[in-house]
Amino acid sequence: MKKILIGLVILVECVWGIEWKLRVPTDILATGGAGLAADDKVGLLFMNPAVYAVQSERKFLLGSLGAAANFSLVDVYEVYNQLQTHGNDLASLTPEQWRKLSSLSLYTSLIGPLYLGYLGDKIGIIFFDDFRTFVRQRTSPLLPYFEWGSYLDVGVQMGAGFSLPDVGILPRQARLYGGLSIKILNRIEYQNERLSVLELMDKVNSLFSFQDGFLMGQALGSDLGLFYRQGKWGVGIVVRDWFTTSFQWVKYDARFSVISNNVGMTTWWPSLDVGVSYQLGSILSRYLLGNVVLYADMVNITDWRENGWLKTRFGVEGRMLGFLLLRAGLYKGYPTLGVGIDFPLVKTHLTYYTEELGTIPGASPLPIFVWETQFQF
Amino acid sequence: MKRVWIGLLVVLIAGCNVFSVFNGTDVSQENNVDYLLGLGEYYIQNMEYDKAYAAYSRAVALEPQNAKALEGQATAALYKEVPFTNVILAIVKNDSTRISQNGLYRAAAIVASNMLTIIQGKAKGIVSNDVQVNTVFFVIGNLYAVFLALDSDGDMNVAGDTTDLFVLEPDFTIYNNTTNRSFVDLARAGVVFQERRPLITTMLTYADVSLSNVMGQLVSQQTRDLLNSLTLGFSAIRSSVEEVLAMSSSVTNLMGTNNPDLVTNLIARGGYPNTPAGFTQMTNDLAAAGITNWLEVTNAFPDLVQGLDSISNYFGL
Repeated sequence: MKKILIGLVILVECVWGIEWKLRVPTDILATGGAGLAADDKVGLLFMNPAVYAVQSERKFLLGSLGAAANFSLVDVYEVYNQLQTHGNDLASLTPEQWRKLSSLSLYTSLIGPLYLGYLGDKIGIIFFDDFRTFVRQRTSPLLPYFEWGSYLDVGVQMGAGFSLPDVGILPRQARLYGGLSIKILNRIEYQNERLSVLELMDKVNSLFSFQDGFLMGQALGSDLGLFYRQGKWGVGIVVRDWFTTSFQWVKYDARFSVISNNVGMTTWWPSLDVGVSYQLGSILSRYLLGNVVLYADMVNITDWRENGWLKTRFGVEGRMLGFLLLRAGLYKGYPTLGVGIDFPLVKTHLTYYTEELGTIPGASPLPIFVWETQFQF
Repeated sequence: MKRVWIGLLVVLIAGCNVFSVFNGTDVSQENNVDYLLGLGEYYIQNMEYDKAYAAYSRAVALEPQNAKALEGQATAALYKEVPFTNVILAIVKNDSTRISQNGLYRAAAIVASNMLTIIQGKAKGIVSNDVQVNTVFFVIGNLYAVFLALDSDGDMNVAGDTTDLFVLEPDFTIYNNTTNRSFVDLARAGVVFQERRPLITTMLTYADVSLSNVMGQLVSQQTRDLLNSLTLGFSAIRSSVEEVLAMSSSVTNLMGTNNPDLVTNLIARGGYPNTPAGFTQMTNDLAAAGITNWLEVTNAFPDLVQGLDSISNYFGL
């Protein structure tokens, strides 16, 4: 047993890298990424399968369009403005502006158009696609280098929720639900943790020689969930990737010819996420600020390597005028804001949040705007 | 109320993390290397290079073979001595006085040493042929070799130090300061060169290795040509270091003559009377310069052995 544990730790050490998991849904991000105990969002399809059991409405998901970009454009504009007003004199830039330039990062994401699915009758299924890419500038002696990650995910996630038998120790009015989801993923990715300026130039110069490759792999994974509801309280517990989710990579060149069939494996190890929600109800009136719900999650609890503060998610959501959803939160310690427009066939979400690319709070913030419009009935 | 809204907006736009207030810890008591690396990154991001250096140094002390800790320490060391903005301003304003030469020398020692550890495959976490590390070493390794060659009195001061045999001007030009130097100056320089020769040679050798490592990983001819043109400037630097090394291998080279007997002229130039008391005075000066026996001098300058009789005769010994 001891040997197995040591082996597991070594494996975790080997796979620790910049691999990003599935994108957190836009509406959930706006509430600080907290939503394990949410029961009225479309994004819950990716959060806690046990919540499928409490869905009273049927929803057909017809598609989604969205994009995200980071906030560095504002920094660039600020520098441009400063240069314009000082006769293009680089010496006029303040140390703070140089600092911003030296830590410029890029993040872009395309959401959809594939977003087909169904939620209701205690089941949920969704076919989806996502593209994300980020380039992060890292400081090094003399010249910076870049950390690059691009992911194209096409997958299906399906699951079922069900009521669990009454447990004697729980209060009579409490209900306990369980759920299981399965995900089948096809991921295309390009990752480079240390891309020097020279290598970047070289890649651009040699783009059409098609020598550089990307990885493609498939994975089957599953999440287990529990949802406990008592009055205004909800508690969600999810064991994500409970039997591990592993991608066996094949390397392709830019013409989709196989370069190598065995370039390693990436494994998403089981993680334990816990969240609570509390329905505060209406604060002003039902139409001015109603259905206010508070959320708090702690994710990846069993991973002792990740900084504890970065595991926290807090959020609040309220409804205004019947169709406007106002959201705010704290995602890994960074404030989030969001607005949702809830029309019968169209749901639009605008979210501002900050991704932490470093390993402790504040080390490498990447502020991002996300817009997503979903079509459903 | 307006201020509250503005404050909130600033926090949102600046991407401030409310939990970062918990980051400030006494790094000397911290034993978690991953946390120290994160802390170093946080301080670098905020341009607090002294604190970053302390965090990375603690990580290096705990795990001397951790390549990311070594790289972080090198980064913090460089920008602690030569702030990033000074480097930029020196370039854009063509004003090299913004760069502290001695600071660069001190930082180069750490950067070169740490990068060399990675290139030699003695560290874990970054591969030895990593292009970034090898590029940095190629530049800094050459630079450090120059500083080592310039600092002939070994006092870690190269900025306009007229006691050195070669003097570095504020605009980074170098002038030859070997003429009219005393025997004690030359002897001290010889001993220092003798001590440093292996390190300088290592720097130059591995600078070649690092260039080869980088070149071997570039695919396009265009990028290779660019790198070749960028490295041309370093050929001149390298030649000058090799010249200094060759010159410092013999006292007669430094004197600009091949006649060992002329060493007595050099001693006379130092103002030592040609009496046994003059010899005592000169050995006292040598001791003050850190040289306590002749063996050190003759090890540094093998050709001097032939001139020892001349020196003895000069002092009437």
